[in-house]
Amino acid sequence: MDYALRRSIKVGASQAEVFAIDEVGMNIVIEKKQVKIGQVKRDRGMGIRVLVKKDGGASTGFSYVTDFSRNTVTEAVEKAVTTAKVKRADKDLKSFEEKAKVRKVADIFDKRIPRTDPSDLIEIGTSMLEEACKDPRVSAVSGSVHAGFGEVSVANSLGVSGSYRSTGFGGHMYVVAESGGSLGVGWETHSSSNYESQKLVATAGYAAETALKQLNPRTLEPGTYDVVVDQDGLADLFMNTLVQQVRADLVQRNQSPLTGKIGSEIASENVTLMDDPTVPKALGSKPFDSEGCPTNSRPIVEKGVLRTILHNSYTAHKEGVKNTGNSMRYIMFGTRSEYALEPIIGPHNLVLKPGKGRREDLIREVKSGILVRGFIGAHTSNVQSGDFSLALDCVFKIENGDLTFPVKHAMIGGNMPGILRQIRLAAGNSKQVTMGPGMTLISPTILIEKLTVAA
Amino acid sequence: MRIAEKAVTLCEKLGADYADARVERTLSTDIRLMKDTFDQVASGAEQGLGIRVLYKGAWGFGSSTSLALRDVSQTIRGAFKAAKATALHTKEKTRLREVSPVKEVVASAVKEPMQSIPVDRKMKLTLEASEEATKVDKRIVSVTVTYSDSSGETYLATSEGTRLVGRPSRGSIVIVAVAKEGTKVGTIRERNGMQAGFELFEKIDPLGLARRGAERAVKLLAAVPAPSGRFTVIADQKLAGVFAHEAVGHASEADHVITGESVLKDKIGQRVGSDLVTMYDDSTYPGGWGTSLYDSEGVPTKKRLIIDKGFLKGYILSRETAAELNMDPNGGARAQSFAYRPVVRMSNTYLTAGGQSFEELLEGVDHGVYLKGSRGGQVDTAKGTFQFSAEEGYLIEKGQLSKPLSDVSLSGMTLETLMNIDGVANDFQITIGLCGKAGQVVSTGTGSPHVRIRNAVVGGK
Repeated sequence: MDYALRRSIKVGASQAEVFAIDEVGMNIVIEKKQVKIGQVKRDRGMGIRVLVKKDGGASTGFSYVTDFSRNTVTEAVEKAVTTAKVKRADKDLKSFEEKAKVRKVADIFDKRIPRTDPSDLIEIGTSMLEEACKDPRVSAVSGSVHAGFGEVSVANSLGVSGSYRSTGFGGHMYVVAESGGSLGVGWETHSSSNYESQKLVATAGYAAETALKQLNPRTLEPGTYDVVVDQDGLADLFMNTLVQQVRADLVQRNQSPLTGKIGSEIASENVTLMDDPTVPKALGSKPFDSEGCPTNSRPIVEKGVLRTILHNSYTAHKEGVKNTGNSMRYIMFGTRSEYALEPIIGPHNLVLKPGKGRREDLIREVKSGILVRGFIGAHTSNVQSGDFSLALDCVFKIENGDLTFPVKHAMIGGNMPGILRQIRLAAGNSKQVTMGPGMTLISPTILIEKLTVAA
Repeated sequence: MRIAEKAVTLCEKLGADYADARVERTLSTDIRLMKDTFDQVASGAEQGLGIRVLYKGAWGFGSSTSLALRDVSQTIRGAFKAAKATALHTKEKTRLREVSPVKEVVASAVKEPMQSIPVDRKMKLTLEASEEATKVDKRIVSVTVTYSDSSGETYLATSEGTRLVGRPSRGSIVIVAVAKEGTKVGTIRERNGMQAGFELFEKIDPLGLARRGAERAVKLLAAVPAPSGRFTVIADQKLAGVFAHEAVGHASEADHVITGESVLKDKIGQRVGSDLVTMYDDSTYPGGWGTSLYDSEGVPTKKRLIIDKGFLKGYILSRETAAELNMDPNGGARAQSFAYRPVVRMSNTYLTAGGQSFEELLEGVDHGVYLKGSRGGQVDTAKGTFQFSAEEGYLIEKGQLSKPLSDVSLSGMTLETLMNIDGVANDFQITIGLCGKAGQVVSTGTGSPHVRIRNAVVGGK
């Protein structure tokens, strides 16, 4: 890393930054009611960003390598500097992150995980399978278990230099039940930075139970319903709409409906949404962001009012505000190692304030509605207008507080943030769902009033 | 090749029944220009090894971005450990359908190597496309152009003696144009790409794509909310291509068939669509985005007939799924990169052209919806349901296109929809796509002519 920084300055960069990851991941894949394959993955790489000052502004260049040999790094640095020189100066680009005091974040590294062996994950997978296959109507089971540990390092030529270690653990179970020509599908996920094998095994039972309850679905009468949404569905919808809409880069470019809305009421007063990078055992918790800026907890929406949007060093400089430490490296579709990406903006742990009571109590509040586990097609949402059109996954009809029958083939259309005004209630059952690398939604099941549902 | 061969030898020493190793070095350029600002310009130099071992009927897989001998050896031991532990629990042992080992060097036809072109020329191309779109209309408020290229070397060695060297090269351009007027916003994406050297950008006409995208985005400003309900629908080449890929293609992947997560399970030889439906998954389509002569297992690929005039003819197969279904392998196992194991994937998936013109399809519609382009979609292959959002829509009234519609989607049951196709035009087009499955993204081609679907579910707001 030091060499890359030194070399960058030597070949003409005014500033340089290195973001490096070295991680070991392990996972097993469950297919056809058996453990199919165990995999190990060592991923080490670094992203090199340079800043060249010129014409009253500056420009950046970026390269990444997985081969740390001198030759490859030298070439990468040269390409980055060339890019920066060719790019037109951006007068809003001032500097990379300055050195600042970083606080430790507790409970993001579980010592058990580096000691985990593929055979441990296979034990868990086997227990999940047993749990899922208890009923003879279960016809297909697939799923996964994964564990990983790694170190993230950020250093720049302004003196930022830090690293932290973290772990991750989780998995999912997908169950198909078959009976008399009818198919029912159920699934559940679990993720944490701690080795929570029992909780993961429990997902299997829940997925199977849901699949069985989904057998013999009926068509829903189109109309207006109260819709109870579980956490995974909400995470999918948020990631593809709200998370993007609170990015300062998109707000500044006028690509978010939240442009100019700070201080305005955008949600019902039941909605309080924090970004909290200090939640114990949460996969989004971290001491500093991907540019080395210390992270902090802050409300995004407080009792319905938009309080802040999320910044990285560039957008904060541009607007003359304090960096919120939300530089993240991810892409919306597919998988790419974080070191291969330039920083954009995202939340760490988006925490939707829970209400009271169990999920059943929330359902009991509903006279005529549906319960939805997930959405299909959330990635087709239009971030800029906020409009979305979603097929619903794992749906049950709710009549007078009871789940009465599984529903096939229903859709909703709506708008984000508009839909936030219709959130009436939240249960107390907070759950962590991964939204992206180092990003989670921690939320309860919620009740959205009066949505138009098409069959 | 030396590292790949060494890796395979080590696996055999450890006691593997089968092993294959893929070593790759890839140089890439990714440029994203938003309005007139280069949002991203990234040069990548990636290398790594992926190793797959079969031990007593169980798989282990390992990958490492470090090719240092110690790291490679550790990765291989990890993969072997995983296979061994899995073997203790598997009831059904994995078998591989036999194939003949091959030795070949496969290179993309390249005139101008991607790496010989300096990054500023690639940036200039991106800028020109952006300017072309911006000048179409004052209401174009934002244009994002994404340029990508990659080239490199791939080596595959198997314990059966296959030795394949690949020199792939590909490039693509994606243009997203946003038009705005008052509170109305119209967003359109145009994209194209090829497997070739830098010269491909002359063939795919980035400026033309940019212009078309901007013109379509402006048209969307006049759009009114779409109606919901059942309509006769005409889907354009892109949307019908996405339907072919998402709804039918995924269900024809043999791994989904075997796990029961496919509506096409046990349906070979049966009618699954109307007479007008013929569909291929074609790895041999010249220059195609999903084209390859060999798959990631080193099996020669094919033009796979999936549906012939409405009858299901075959599946996309890996060696493993071919053994399981007792069919001949057809080179359908692909991996995103060395860091991923090969899984059953599509290549270029398309519905073939019919005999009617687009106008003839329209003539038969009294009251319907014309859907163009796709903002993506998803399917449940087990239930056979799908949902796609179109980019543009138009009402069809008395055989004529009328009002433009916004945010309109198409959903339904896959098999019902295939049976309800009652018109296929003669205007076949193929485009590029990315397909996600099993946590991996691979390049795919999707194609189709205009198709007409009776009684389809359209969702608006």
